Amino acid sequence: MNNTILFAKNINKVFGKGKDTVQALSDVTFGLQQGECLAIVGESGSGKSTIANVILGIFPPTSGEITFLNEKLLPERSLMLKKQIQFVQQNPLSALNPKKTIGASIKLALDVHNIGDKSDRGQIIDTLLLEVGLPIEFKHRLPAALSGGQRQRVSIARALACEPKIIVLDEPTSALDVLVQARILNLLNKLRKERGISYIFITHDLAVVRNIANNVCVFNQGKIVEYATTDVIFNNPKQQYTRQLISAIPVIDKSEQILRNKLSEAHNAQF
Amino acid sequence: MNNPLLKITNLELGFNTFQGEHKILHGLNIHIKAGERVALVGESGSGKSVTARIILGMFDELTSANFSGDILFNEQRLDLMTKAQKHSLRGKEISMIFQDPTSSLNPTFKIGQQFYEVLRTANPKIKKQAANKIAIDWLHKVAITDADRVLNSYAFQLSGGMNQRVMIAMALVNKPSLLLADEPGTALDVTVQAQTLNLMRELVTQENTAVLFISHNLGVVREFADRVYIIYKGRIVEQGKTHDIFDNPQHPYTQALMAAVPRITGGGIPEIDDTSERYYDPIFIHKGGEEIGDPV
Repeated sequence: MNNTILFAKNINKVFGKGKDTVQALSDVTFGLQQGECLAIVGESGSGKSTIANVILGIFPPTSGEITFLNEKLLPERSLMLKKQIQFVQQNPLSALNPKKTIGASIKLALDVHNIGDKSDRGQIIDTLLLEVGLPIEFKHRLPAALSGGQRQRVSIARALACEPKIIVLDEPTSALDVLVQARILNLLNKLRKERGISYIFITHDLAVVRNIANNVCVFNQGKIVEYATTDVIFNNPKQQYTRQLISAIPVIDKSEQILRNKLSEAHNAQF
Repeated sequence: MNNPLLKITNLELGFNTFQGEHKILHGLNIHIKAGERVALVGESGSGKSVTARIILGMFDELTSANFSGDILFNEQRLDLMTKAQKHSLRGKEISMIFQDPTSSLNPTFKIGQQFYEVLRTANPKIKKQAANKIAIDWLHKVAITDADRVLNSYAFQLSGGMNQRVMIAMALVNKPSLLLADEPGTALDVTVQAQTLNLMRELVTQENTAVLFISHNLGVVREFADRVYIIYKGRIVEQGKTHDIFDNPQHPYTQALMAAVPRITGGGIPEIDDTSERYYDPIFIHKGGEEIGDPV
């Protein structure tokens, strides 16, 4: 398809040398369309964060290649490429400099990538803060004076400041309360629609995935075990492992329970 | 009369800060009957963990914490007990499981040694060999098959799920009448969490242990608890039987919480305020959720 902006092909990643090696990723292949939210789910140790780091260029894959806008992505990234693929982490407190005000943290991204005229940058910061739903006065505050949800909004604003094509979100709501999580997810959805950004959404929370992703990659021990649209994953998963994951989710209402029972029956029927 | 095992009346807690006293709990009333599984659900900072810590006496030495209220455990006033009296309850009558299993075990001692110490609190004369036998027996109960290897390992050599199962075994080995479980599955993967919670539920039913289950995860609570308290900013806002709370939430805060949980059946995420005046509405008590002998 021609609006594929990122394509990862046969990615392998091996850590360690000699006898002590860990195959963190084996033969991972997926594509990301423009404006798509692709969820990467799996348990801890399944390689979710490794693939994020490979896409971000934090370390190179052992073999395989990633193409971004029809160009091969090399381990050595140009500033332009760094700008276009941004990252939002799980814990916003450790992602923001505690000694810098919110405004300064966002401004750093603008300065590094030389976005806008110097005199306009204050204005850009204000617009970004409003866009993520924070009052403008917050730019004078330190991260410590913000709540978890507000900090995560700042991280998102900082990623947006670079006008990226792709944002890699590594468990962006796992450290947040449900009410705050709902608001952040809504914000992310809104931004994706308005700006046409693509998300790679890494999480272990399948219920979140159900409500935000278009496509889902299920990872297990470094391999993609199932890669399908969100509807297929939740209504008619092909793989045993996917069913097992879904039937382990704690649910809160009856229709969810019915769905889950249906899937776990299919899971048991295979034995 | 069927008196509750634990009865907390009008519990208040405040911490002294440079800006004056910061109130955390505004008069909680909680009761747990013997063998009952009760959940305390709320967001971070709502005061759910501190409640468990007060019961265990973890703030007694902290001069900046002021608390008041009656805590009645087995007809004894916990809040009036001496240090030694409380010490003799912990690990035998009341035990606790924490969120992060790996950091709640001592990294410098092998699991076997730590198990031995737990058993010695109940029976100071117990021999090491006898203790070992009991430990192996209990590790089998929490579905650890290679108990010998586990007893000979340090906590950091085991996985999180394994450590949490060791913690559950240690917490229950002295057959306490009350178990405080503070987010016991949060640090684990979903599949491992489901397994550990099932195990825990089976064991506490078998041993007739009452549980105060603290969690922010509504799904987990629905599967584990008989009765639920919803706490918001140090106030109980709704209480009742689990199915009443989940099928028919009445308080605006509970309704918002339920709506905010993403469903695996899809349907998107509604716009919900994360703060609202209505969340401070007075408590709603479902029928059957009130204290025995309370006026209905």
